[in-house]
Amino acid sequence: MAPRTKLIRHLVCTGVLWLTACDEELVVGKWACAASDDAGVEDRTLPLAAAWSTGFEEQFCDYVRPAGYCYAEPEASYTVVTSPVHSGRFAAAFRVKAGNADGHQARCVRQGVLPTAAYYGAWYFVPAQAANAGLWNLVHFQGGPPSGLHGLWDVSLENGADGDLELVVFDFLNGTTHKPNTPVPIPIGTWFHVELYWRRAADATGQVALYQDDRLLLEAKQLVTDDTSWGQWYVGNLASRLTPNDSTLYVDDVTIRSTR
Amino acid sequence: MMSRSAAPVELGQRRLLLMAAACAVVFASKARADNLDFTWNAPPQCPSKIAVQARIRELAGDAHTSTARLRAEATVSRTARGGLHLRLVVQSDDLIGERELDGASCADLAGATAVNVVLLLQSLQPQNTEVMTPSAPKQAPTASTRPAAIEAQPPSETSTPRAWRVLLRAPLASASIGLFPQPSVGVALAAGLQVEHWQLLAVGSAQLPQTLPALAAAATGARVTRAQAGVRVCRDFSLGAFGFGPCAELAWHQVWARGEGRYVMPSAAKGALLAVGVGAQARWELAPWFGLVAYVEASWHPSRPRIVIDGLGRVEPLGAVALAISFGSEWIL
Repeated sequence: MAPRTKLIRHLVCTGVLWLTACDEELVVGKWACAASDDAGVEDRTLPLAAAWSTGFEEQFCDYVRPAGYCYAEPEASYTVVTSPVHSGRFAAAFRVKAGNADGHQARCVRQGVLPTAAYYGAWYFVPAQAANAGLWNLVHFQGGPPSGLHGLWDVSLENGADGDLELVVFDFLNGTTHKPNTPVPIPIGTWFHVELYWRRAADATGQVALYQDDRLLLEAKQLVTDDTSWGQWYVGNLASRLTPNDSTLYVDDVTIRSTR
Repeated sequence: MMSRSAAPVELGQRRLLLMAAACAVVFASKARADNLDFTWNAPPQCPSKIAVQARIRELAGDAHTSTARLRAEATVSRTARGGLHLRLVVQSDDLIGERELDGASCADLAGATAVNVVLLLQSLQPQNTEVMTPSAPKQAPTASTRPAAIEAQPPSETSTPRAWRVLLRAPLASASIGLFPQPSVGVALAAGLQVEHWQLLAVGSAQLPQTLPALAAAATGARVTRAQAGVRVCRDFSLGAFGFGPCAELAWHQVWARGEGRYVMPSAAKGALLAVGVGAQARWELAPWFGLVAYVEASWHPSRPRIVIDGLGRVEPLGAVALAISFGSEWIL
């Protein structure tokens, strides 16, 4: 706005008219962390800290710095919301359109040299029951060179025998789906905690364990769990075939920690 | 029935005259100070009754020409304009003399009381009624039981006390809620004139900085400092040493804001808003030159700056209405 125009507007707004519509705008800074999906891959030797967390209190900045990003396909989205939240003022909402190639995923990614062993956790809120006829992924690990990233582990939702949604783990390296011996349905409309323990190993010394609300659902030991030195950890919402199509998952208090 | 015709007197202009008259009284006749039943009603900061009595004895001397019992009652009170007023009544049998004086200090009025008691005592003696102030009209007591009134001062000496005074209110502590999300505190001052019962004051205040949180991110916001200047008009109603009254105010608020937060590249900006307010004040004059004052005001801000962080959005908005209170010292010049 030209100084003269600004001055006139200022005089009018603060003068005799006192129009609320004239409220002056004061810009006091620039958000230096606008979430974007174009975050480059930093130094590939950079280790990912074994203690990290975000509650989306500063939007998605904790993902952007130091190593990570968030993304959504054109017809999907991710935003912060004030309700529901697990803690603090904000949580993240990942909205997708299942089956739509331009809208079936919205996620945030941490990347780097992953810890040798760590617990990867997140609080999820599923607002409504859905029928899943494809892949409904909550947590995804992949690794490898930039030109050859491949999947390592998935934590996903499947409908159980009675239609309830249950957590399962998929092992990409062995092509195996691990299901709990005693399935535990996830709660609908209530926050629940999903945590995967992953001890990375290129030989048969690796280990994974899945916890739901601190309850051990399944555990696999003495197996190859990683064949890469650099990886990515995805948290969010990816759905290939859901009824209904539109799906929103809320996520809060995402953590990496070395002990429980 | 008692008649009286007393006029306010400005002490500063006549102190010498009164003292001269007192001296004349003392040396011309013997007052009856020891037979005096003296009552002294005055604010706490005034000289004591004992001090005034001592002054009366000093002026009147210790001899006695009469054994008649005398009674004098002096009452000092605050005036509507903050000054002091003395009402002095002296009675001997069925004779009554009365004077009223205005003054700026209690010490002056205490001295004047002593002088005037001596004067009135002397004037109540029939043989000495001529010993009034040189130009005072004489009025001899009548033989009837109707009390006589004595002109305290000649009309030529009557003057009106100053109708205006300068007010300085500082320092004042201030607090407000409503404009900012959290209560804010600061300091304030005011200066102006009081003419009759109206006060016109220029007011100013500054508040401690406060962070207005961003609506879309935690631990992020704008640090805002505010100062204001304005004009206030009050109508003052006095009840002795106390005063109260309604006020209206028009003020200009200046705000300085700067973004803050881990992911904010901050910049500074400033803006302004107008405020119209109504309020009430209460005053307590502890002395003619000093008092305490408290002020409470509700204000409306029809137009307010919107503070934003580029790329993130607005911070908590400024409120449209606010309630403020201030209190502190008042200096009367």
